[in-house]
Amino acid sequence: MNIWVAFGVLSIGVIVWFLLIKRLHTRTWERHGSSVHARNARGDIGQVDVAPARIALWVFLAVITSLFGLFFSAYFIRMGHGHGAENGISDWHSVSKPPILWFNTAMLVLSSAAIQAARRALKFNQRTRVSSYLLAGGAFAMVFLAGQLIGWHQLRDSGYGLTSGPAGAFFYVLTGVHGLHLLGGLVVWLKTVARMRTRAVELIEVRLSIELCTVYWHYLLLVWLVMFALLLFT
Amino acid sequence: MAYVAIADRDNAHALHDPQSFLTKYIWSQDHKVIAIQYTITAIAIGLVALTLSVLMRLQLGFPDSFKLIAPQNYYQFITLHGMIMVIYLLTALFLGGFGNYLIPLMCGARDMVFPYLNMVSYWVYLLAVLVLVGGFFVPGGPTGAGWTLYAPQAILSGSPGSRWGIVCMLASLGIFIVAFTMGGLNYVTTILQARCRGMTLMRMPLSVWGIFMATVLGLLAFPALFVSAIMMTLDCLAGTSFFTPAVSSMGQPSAYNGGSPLLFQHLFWFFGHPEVYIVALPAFGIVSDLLSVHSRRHIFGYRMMVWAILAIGCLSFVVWAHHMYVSGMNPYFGFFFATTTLIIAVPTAIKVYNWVLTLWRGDIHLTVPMLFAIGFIFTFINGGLTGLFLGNTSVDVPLSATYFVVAHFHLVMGVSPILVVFGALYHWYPKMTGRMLDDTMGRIHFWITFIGTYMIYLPMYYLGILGLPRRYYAWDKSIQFIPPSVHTMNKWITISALFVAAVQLLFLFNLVWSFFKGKPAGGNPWRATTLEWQTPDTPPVHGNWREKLPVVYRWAYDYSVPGAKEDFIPQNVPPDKLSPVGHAQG
Repeated sequence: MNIWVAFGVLSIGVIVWFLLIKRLHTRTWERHGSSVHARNARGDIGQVDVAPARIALWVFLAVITSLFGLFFSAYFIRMGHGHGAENGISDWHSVSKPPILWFNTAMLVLSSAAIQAARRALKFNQRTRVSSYLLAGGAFAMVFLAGQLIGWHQLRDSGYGLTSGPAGAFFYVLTGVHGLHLLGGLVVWLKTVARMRTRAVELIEVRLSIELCTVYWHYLLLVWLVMFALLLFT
Repeated sequence: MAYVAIADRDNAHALHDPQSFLTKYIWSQDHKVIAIQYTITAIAIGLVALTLSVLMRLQLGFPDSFKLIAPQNYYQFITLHGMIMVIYLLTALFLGGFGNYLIPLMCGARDMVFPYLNMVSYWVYLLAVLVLVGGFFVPGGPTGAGWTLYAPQAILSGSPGSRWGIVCMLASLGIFIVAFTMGGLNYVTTILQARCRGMTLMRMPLSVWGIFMATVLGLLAFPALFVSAIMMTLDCLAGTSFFTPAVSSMGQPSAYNGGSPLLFQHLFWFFGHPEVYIVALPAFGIVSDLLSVHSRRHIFGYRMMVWAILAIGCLSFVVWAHHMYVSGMNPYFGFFFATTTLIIAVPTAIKVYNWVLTLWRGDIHLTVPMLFAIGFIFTFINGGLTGLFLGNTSVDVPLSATYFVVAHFHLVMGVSPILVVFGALYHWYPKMTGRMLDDTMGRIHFWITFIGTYMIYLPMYYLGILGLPRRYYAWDKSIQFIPPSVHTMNKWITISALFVAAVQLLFLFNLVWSFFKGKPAGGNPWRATTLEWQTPDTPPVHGNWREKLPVVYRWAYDYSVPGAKEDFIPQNVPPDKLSPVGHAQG
């Protein structure tokens, strides 16, 4: 355990150190290739094209990483530390996984892919394509959420309610928290779609929203894949 | 629409000035108004916590004379006192209050990058405070589980407020975390993206560095509290067994089975220890600036100070289990965490040395903010050194349940940051209101607070070494190992505490009185270099800088530069305005 903690700390330390050194020299007011930049070429790796919302999203992703990371470690600790665990009589009994989860996973992958396609179409300025891919992405995400709800019902009907045991309880909590995050993403998605419907809005004005949605969607897909693997194998 | 760097945006990009009273002072998106809203709310709820502590002290000092509170009330008050002071007062005041006020002004920005989110953050914080206060009015009263809310006793009948009180507490914490996350995203993004031209990260005042790192810690640590709050709420309301083992409560077997109380402690302290630094780092940063301004000398070892802040921030995530030496966890953990705990003393000591070296041969002005800053150094050393005792497992085990711990953490993370809060309020009040706080009242406030604090907490170290257990409502006179001197000393502590509490009212009076009657301050009464003192208006108007954003040419600490006309050079003075010898560092 200690060795893992030490390794984790070391690697986080190296990453943080690298990012800090990189950030400490940035000058957010300077553009790449501008005359000001040329004059201060030494040690200047500043990027101006990074909009504040993009930074905020990445910081927010760090927060969610911390949140899910802690849920996962709580999961492991509860699995290994239950009453009587040291005598091999843990109260942890894995639950039967509703098969619909595989279908849901496919939906979320499709959702992520559709939003990525919207982002790609954005590059070529194809308004109708952006619009339809975006709608498809949101629709797949909603199917995913509905599927998760069905999964909850199936699990409950097969005898694993919230109070049936730690594995069941964690299943509901983890999938619930993930679903809520996706729901939050759908709010932003809805706002973006609504803006797209207004003819007066230029494509470029929703570019940032769509790009950030893409990042968020991919991230939640990643979280779901890790979570699904965790639920499957324990 | 091409992207324009924030430092190059003219006033047309900035928000339109709010016109009505409602948008200007209530639903305001101006960082300065939000900062003041945060500050007032935090002080108001802090007064509740202060009152609770006075009631507890009266019980402990004079258990026979006052029958104000019952034992269960004592536990409820101790819980609420701790939680309010740590989270709703200090965290909110340092980050929501000073963070909001200082970040845009010190970085040379017009406002936070997401003003609307900033406004929502305050109102959600207010909601968290209201839910917390609501806990007093639910059946059974607020929770009495201790501020650490340890499972399982927090949700078992037998603890006060184990049904509705604890749910209010957990809900309030959850709401607070949402508010903090919204604010925190703003602080981090503003510091990274909205600095004015020339304000490199290594030219930022240490206040901003402290607030920045504390925000990062908060963003990464508060999720741990969030996770434990969700799981404990489910244990309490839905009957899951995340934290609650199979227990018989009040003679009745409960439906719980197999939960891990240790898991709760790990989660809680994974948040709880960084929380110490969420409070301490802004204090470190602010006190560095106060010492530098009022001793007319540059901060000693600026780079070292920045790296120390960053190192403390990173290390604070790997020391949490030193709060759990007596929890029954694996003893090898104790060895690991004792080592990391002692390592964190190194960057902390660097900071203390640098503060003292900043004062060395400085032109020290004993203004009220300076008194509080120097008071902080003393108190922090006193509290911090006893931390070295408690950081060692073998010494902690006998001391852990005694008043030694009470004295240690009150000095190091209660009184020390509060002294900085006071110093900072005396320092920046002129910028916030345009008027100075009254000096005489300020000095009375300082000396009674400072000396009173020592009269309260130094005896507690002694009580702790005697073995006086903490968390007790009363100590029976017949207990053999408690000598009569303990009871005398408890009276002494209570009387001192009453004085200290009373003088805080004088401070509040000063805040109100000086707002109307205080001496006009002018734009830069302390002759300081940082940008917030260079605003064209005092108090700064909406948008802070009128048409043109400032441009920064130097670091924040050009005091007493040899050859310069005055003993300070503001950050926005260009080099060609100085005589050749006056060229400064940074």
